[in-house]
Amino acid sequence: MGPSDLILVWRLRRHDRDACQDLILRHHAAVYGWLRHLGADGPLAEDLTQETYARAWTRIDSLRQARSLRSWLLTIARNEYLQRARLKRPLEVGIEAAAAAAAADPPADDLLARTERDANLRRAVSRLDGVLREAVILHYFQELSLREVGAVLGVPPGTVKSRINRALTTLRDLLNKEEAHDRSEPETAIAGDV
Amino acid sequence: MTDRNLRRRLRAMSDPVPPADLAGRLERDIPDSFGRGEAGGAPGPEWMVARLGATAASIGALVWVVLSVLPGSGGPGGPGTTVAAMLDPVARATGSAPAVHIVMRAWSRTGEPFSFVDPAGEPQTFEAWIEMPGAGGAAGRARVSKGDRVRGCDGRETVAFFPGRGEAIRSAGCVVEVETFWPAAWVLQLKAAALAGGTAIHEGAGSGGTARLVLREPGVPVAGRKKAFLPEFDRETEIVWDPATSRLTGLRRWVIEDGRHLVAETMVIEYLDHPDGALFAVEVPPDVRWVTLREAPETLAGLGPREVTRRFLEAAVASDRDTLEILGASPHTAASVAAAGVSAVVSVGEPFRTGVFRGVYVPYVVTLGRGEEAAERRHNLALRDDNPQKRWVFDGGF
Repeated sequence: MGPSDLILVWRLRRHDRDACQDLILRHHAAVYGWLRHLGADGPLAEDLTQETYARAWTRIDSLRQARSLRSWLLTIARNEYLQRARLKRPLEVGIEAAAAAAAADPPADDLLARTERDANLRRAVSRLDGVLREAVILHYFQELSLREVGAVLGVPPGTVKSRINRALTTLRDLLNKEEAHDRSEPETAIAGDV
Repeated sequence: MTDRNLRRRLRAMSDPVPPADLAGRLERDIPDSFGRGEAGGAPGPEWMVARLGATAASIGALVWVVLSVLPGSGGPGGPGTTVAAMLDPVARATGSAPAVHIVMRAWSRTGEPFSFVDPAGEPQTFEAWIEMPGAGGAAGRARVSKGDRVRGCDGRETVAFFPGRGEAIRSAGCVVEVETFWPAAWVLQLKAAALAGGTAIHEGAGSGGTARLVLREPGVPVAGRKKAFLPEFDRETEIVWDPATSRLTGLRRWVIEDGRHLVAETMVIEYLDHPDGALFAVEVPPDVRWVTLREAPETLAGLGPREVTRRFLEAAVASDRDTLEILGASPHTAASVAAAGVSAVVSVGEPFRTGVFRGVYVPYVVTLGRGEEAAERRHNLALRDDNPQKRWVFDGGF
């Protein structure tokens, strides 16, 4: 947790409305991004981001010296997502299903991927097993420490570490295969894939 | 593809971007129970300001501060006695807190130690959590950080982590410059300055029912060196305290150097009773390189600070990373120094001590580059000898 987050926790516990706005500005993109990575489409991610913050406001008093505000919010977001996935059968966006969905139909935001290599990597991450994917996204995309990732997922840091190692091995294999395949494809096919 | 390359690519990935109006919608959903600033609810017990009153433990803490900050401070009866007497209860009350949390802005420079001052530099945010010895952690605990480094002591060992370098160092004991951040130490330093002839240019009421003192102090001579640490500058320090509790609530410092320049100001001073032990931990990512001091061959062992400096700079000229590392540079730093383009060692001065740094500084002049593009660089190499090998090694200043 950086200096500014520590001050923010202090202000939040004083029920400072300006601190709430800071909490939104500082972390709402991470919450939204995390929900998209979990498999929520755009509208659902917006909806769940609002529910995440609504839940956070009711829990401010239980927020003590949080290790990380971001991991605290991402934990709430994940719970909201899983709860919604359980309640709304038609969505069927469980962690495992999300990988396949993301691989088949990448979110529109993937257009932001600036290079073909980014797109390949994003696809490879989306193909990871759910528990491995969560650990990679939280550690590398959301920049949480192993301890913070463990707090979000409810597992010890050692488990997070082993999941990340397994994920890296899998990712390397996937990327090596994909990039070897790309090299053998005509240029137009590569361009169309981006 | 290597793991390192893969990690780098993963870190560079962008997240899906939320719609532009999402933040506004979230703000509209903030419940009315949240107020504005201090008008809101009270802090929880763990954040509550400690009550006034010295305990045996806090007296111990104060003594620790006095011993480490004020060797040889003046006695009563001098010209600053009145100011010193006024500061006594402030120092006592401020030092009675078992722990303190400080956030301050200070004008320094990336890559330099916490006590480095650069009036022309960029303001950096410093944060410190300090629990004095004798309080909850018997040996004292601390964690101080600024943008390029964090140093934490859990009472047994110190971990220094340099995110930009991807390196960390572990050392026994508490190797943290807590005096730089401990409010009671600031008050005691001013008291010593008053007794030594510092001039009070304001003493009395501040705004909002506070008490305020501004003291002007002369800098110590630097014998031609470039000033780099607070005691070397002519300076003014303002402290503000709450007359009801006598505890310090604010500090600002200016140096007088071609004008009056603000170089430090506190943003947060919190006095804590029972800080969470986790606050003092330094989290080091798994792929960080842990740096240890290499064993020195006979030719580089047992050297004094001046000779270590000369050998270090000669190794820089020769781009000899091996010697640079043996003399204390981390692999990352050794690579930077070796690539800095040092072409000649012009001079190595006499070692000196200043501020709270426990080692010594050695002034030096080197030439960077060659021919028409050559430029002279004057700086101070920081060396310390509190390592298991008890030899002088590089600790910054290049």
